[in-house]
This record gives sequence, C-alpha cells and structure tokens, in this order.
Amino acid sequence: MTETAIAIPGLDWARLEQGSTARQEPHWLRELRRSAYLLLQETPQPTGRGIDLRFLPGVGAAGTEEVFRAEMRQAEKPVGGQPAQAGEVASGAVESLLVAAAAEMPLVLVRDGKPVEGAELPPQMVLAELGEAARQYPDLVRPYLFSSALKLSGPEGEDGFYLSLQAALWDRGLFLHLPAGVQAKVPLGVLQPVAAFGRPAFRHVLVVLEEGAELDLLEEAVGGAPLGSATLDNAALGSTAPGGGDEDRSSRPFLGQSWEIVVKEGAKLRLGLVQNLAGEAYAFRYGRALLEKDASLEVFAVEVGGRWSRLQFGTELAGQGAGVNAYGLFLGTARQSYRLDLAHVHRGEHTRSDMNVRGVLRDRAYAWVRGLGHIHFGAQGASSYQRTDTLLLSKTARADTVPSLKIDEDDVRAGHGAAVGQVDEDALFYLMSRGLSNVQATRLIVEGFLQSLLEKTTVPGMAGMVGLAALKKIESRA
Amino acid sequence: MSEPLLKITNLHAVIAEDGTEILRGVDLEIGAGEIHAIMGPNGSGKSTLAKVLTGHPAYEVTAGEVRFKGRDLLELGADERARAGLFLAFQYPVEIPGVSIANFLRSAVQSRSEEEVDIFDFQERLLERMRLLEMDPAFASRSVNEGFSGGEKKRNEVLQMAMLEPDLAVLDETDSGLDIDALKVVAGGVNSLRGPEFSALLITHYQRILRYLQPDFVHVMVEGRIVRSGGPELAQELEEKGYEWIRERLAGETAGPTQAGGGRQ
Repeated sequence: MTETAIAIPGLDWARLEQGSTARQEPHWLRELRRSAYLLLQETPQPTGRGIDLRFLPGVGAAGTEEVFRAEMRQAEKPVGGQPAQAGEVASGAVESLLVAAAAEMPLVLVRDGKPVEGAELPPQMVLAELGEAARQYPDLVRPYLFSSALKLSGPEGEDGFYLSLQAALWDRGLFLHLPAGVQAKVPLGVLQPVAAFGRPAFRHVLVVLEEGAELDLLEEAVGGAPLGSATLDNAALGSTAPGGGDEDRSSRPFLGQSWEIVVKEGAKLRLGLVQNLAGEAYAFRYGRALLEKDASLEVFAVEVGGRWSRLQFGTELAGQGAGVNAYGLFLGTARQSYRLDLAHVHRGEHTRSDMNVRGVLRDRAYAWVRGLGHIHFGAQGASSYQRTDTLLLSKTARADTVPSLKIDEDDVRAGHGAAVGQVDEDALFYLMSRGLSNVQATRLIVEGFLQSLLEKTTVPGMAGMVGLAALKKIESRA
Repeated sequence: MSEPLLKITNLHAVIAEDGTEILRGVDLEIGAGEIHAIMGPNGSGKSTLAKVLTGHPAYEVTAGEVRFKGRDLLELGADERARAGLFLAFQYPVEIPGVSIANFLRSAVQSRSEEEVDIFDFQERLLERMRLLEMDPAFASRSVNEGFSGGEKKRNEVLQMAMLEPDLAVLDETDSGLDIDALKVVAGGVNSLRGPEFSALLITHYQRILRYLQPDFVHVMVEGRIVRSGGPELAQELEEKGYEWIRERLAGETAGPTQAGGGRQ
C-alpha cells in the first residue's frame, strides 16, 4: 500500500516530539500527533495540483512563544514599517483588512487566541489558543480534535495526506466553544499571521457551537511580506532551514491551515475566511464543517493575496434540515493562482446547499474552481446548487471551473452553472455613452459584478473588506 | 449663418462584422432648440443612425461627415461624444447588475463637469427629476435596469437624459412598448427640457408619441436614406396613408434624390 515515505527535510518524530514537549502538550495530544505522523508516513504525497512540500524549510521546527510573537508582529506590520497603530488603521495604511474593518464596525479582534483588552464576550464562551485549550480544557477539546468534522483515519488519498500533515504539524491555533443557546453579539475577528520566511506556519482552528448557539467569525490570513531593511534575524525565527535545494523557492512564506467546525442542532455560524497574504506567499487551507439537524452555516471565502493559494472547504450536512450557503470571491492579478474547492455532502433529509462563486482575473492570473454537490441515498428532499462566474480582464488570464453533482437519491433538486467571460461589450458601450471613460466604465462593471455577490451574503464586514482589497489591487496597477 | 448644432452629410455606414450597408447617404441638419422626428418602416436604418451617431462599435462609417457643435463627431469616442453633449436614449437599455442608478449617474454627471459634483446637490436634483418622471425614489438604489419592466427602463433612460442635460438627445424608439400613461410621463420629461439649449431627434415607428411631443420637423427614412422631410403634418399624412404610400411615391419619382437634405427650410 505504501509507496515511498515522503521526504520533507527535517521532519521526523523526534523533532515533532521535541516541539510537543516544549509546548507542554498533554500526553493524549502527543499520541494524536504521533498517529498523524505515522499515517503521514504511509500516505503518498499527492502530485499535480498539490504543493511540493520538500521545498519547505524548517517544517516541524518547534515554534517557541518568542518565535510566534516575532511572526505576529511581522505579519501585522503596516505598509509604513511600524506595528499597527490606531491612527494608521484609520488612514488605511494597514495591510490587514480585518484590522481596517475593526475600525469601521463592531468587531472583537483576536490575536493568538486572546481577544483585545476590554472586549465584551459572552462569559460562557471558551476562546483560547488551541495548545493552551488542550491543556486547560481537555474535556472540551479532546472529543473533537481531529475526530469530529475531520477524522484522522477517515479520508484517503489527497485529503488524507493534507489532513495527516496538519494533524502532525500544527503548532498554533484557535479553540472556540460556545455553549448551548449562547449567542455572541459581536463578531470575532481572528488574525492568522504568517512570517515572511524562516518557518512555514501550520495552524488549526477548532470551533464548536453547541445547540442553538450563534456566532459570527471572521478570519484573515495576513502577512508574509518581505521586510526590506527591517529584516528579522532568520535565526531568531527558529529556522533551521537546510541549505541546498532551490534557495529561491525555499524562502517563500507558507501557511498550512485547517479548520474543524462542528455546528450542532439549530446552531448558526457565519464565517468569513479572508486570504490576504503578501504576494509571494503560498497557502494551503483545508476545512470541514459538520452540520447537525437544522444547523446553518454561511461561509464567505475571499481570496485576494498570495502567489499560490488553495482553499478546500467541505460541509457535511449530516442532520435533517441543515443548510449551507457557500460564497467564494477571488481577485487575481499578476501571476496569482487560486484553487477553490467547495464540497457539499448531503446525508440528512431536506438538507440544502447553495454555492455561489465570483471572481475577477487580470494579467496572467489563474483560477481553478471546483464545486461538488454529493447527495447520498437517504437525503430525500435535498437541494444542491452551484454557480460560478468569472470575469477575465485580460487575454492572458485564465479560469477553469469544474462543477459536479453526485446524486444517489431520487427525490432531490440540484443544478449547476458556470460562466467565464470578458466584460460585456454592450454594458461597456452603455456606460461610455453616458460619458464614462473605458477605465471608469470597466471599473464600475467589475464593482457591480462583485457587488451582486456581496449583496447576497449576511456575513458582516465582507463588503467593506472586499472593497478595500479591490482598491488595493487597482492601485497596485499604477 | 452659423453652423447648425448637428450636420450630417452623405453618411454611409455598414455593420462592422459583415460589411452590410445600412446607412446609404443620410443628410440631416438639426439646429439648436429644434425637435426633429425620424419615422420609417422597420429595417429602414433609423436605429442604426442613432447608434452610429453615438459611436457604437458594431458599426463602421464608410463615407460622409458628421459635425456636432462645430467638431468632427466621428473622430470622437463614445464617451467623448457624451461629454461633448450628445445623449442616446437606448431602444433596449442594458442591465448592469450591482451598479446602482445613483452611483452610475453621479459618475456620469461628474464626467460632464469640470468641478467636483456636490453630492447633496446631486441627490436633490436626482430626486426632483425622479418626481417629475413619477419614479419611486427607491429606484435610485436599484441596479441599473436590472429586473426593470419595459416602461421602467424607458423612464430610466429619460431620467438619465434629464440629469445629464445634453445639447442633443437621440431617443431611439423610446415610445415603443409604453402604455399611454407611461408615454405621457416620458413625453413630459422630454418637454420639460425644451428650450433654446436642448435639441432632440426622436426615432419612432409610430406617430403616437408626436401628439404629446410636438416636433418642429419630421423626416421619413427608407432604405438608409431620408427620403422626405416636412413639418408635423408629414407625420399625420404618414399615419393616414402608411409607409407604402411613401414607397409608391418614391417609385414614381425616377429623378434622383428627392427632397433629402434636411429639415431646415
């Protein structure tokens, strides 16, 4: 069964164990890591659309508190060079869209599992860095961690590989637990910072909403920009980057992330996932939500940053009447490459999934969008829809959309549609015949195209963040 | 005598894609403050004339000249023509999803103004014009033409015209598909702009709108040429006798161009 063991330089159990000890992880967590590590040894690394992890330096290096702090400061660095100040947030000089959004709307920023000082959160909510939560609330964490929405021994092949990788390597993360009936009034904004170089970041986020709980959660992957003169000492970041190999590739920032989300009966989660990494960063993010009876999830994924980014997000509609609205929006310029993979697995009766993705590509940007609606036998009355629209603003931009439906039940409704096209000539002429220049008219059409998607979502703050990101993209052309 | 506002001379145009000739030597002059109507059977080239005047990329001018406010109109791009004071009310207005009427119109009004358009003045003016056209103010925040009925689309065209205050408006079958009440509102909108600084070219298949919007001159277009010009009574005559009458008259007149050459008499 096993082909060859993967060869990630520096990845061995001794090293992972060392990291686990340094973080004072409980025994059960170390064992979980070990099973993931062993599974990883016997899972062949996917080729083709995956990312070649052999080029990642410092995988498995212990992330000390100090190292993480340094990364955090670096990732949140505004354009000017100093850590974000309130004034700079207002002036728009901050790279983080979430930090900017926090100035415009009620939002509790969360850094490394800690809310900003003075934030008013429901007292019953447990919010902590994941490693810390594993030590402090083992009874809450252990039943779910890599054993609920994500089952370590479950998926095979590509999914199995990345899942084992995440489970073995995560060294920082977030745990969020909302007890039954508790509704968090103010959205949480979680920053997921990535260092420019030195050590790839592996993060895991575990969210559990008990019966009837409600939460708005926004998350932004940010950072990864070279620092110029203010370069941090590579050694200070704990890098043990092996020499040799492709130096250029090995210096790229990388984020590996996973989400494990459990939404119990009647609970409601609105989730915004923003990937706003710097231009050279690579990201591979993998999430899975488990929806019980009448649970609802609205997820809005935004891809604007990075050089290469893949987001796989699957929702399992396990309970009767569960529903998901999955939105995706991408803005690609230069040579950015996005892979967006949204899956909806229907097991419960009368479950509902609605996927809507829109993107705009310019220059040589590329996007690959896959939607999967899988209705299992027994999911009577289920409905599953997918729609993907891509606007190409240059002849060299490309997009591939792969909609798919797998239906093992008769009494269902399902459909999909996809369109890839240029700016509509008639619309352009109409606007220009009112005096708008070609550039103005195109911009208005693009804004309208995105606005039509943003209008549908109720995830707070998305329109503002996308608007800001779009502005940044437009300015980058000058 | 000074140059008229618009002067079209021997205008020929083809469909860019396949070279089919649609306009075959149009001559027309429109003076400041005048309302002209062009009537004609389907396929006579009326709408093509409107599109060619506003610079639609689907058509190519192969001969002739168009001067507008003393400038060579054909040298200008569609947006430059608009900024020069030309407006086309579309026969089939285009839907622009996600772009609100208010947002779009503000950009358009700004494009014709050297100075920064004051947002409050603009809002006030927009609401006033909407009242005049009996439009629900909520329309301002709706996406341009998206999900509009035929009548709503036409009103929206007239609203844009009223906001942009062009020197010359070309109304391409703005009356078609309107019930009599909507027709009165639309005609009222155009009439409200009448004055020495506003001219209009109404393109229509029917005489109906001309009851509410009295033209100074009427032209008949057949097979890509203006074949008859006259006063409002010409429209009346057409209504009574039909377009066949014109065709028969033309067949009878063997000697070259008829009265083609414009409405300034």
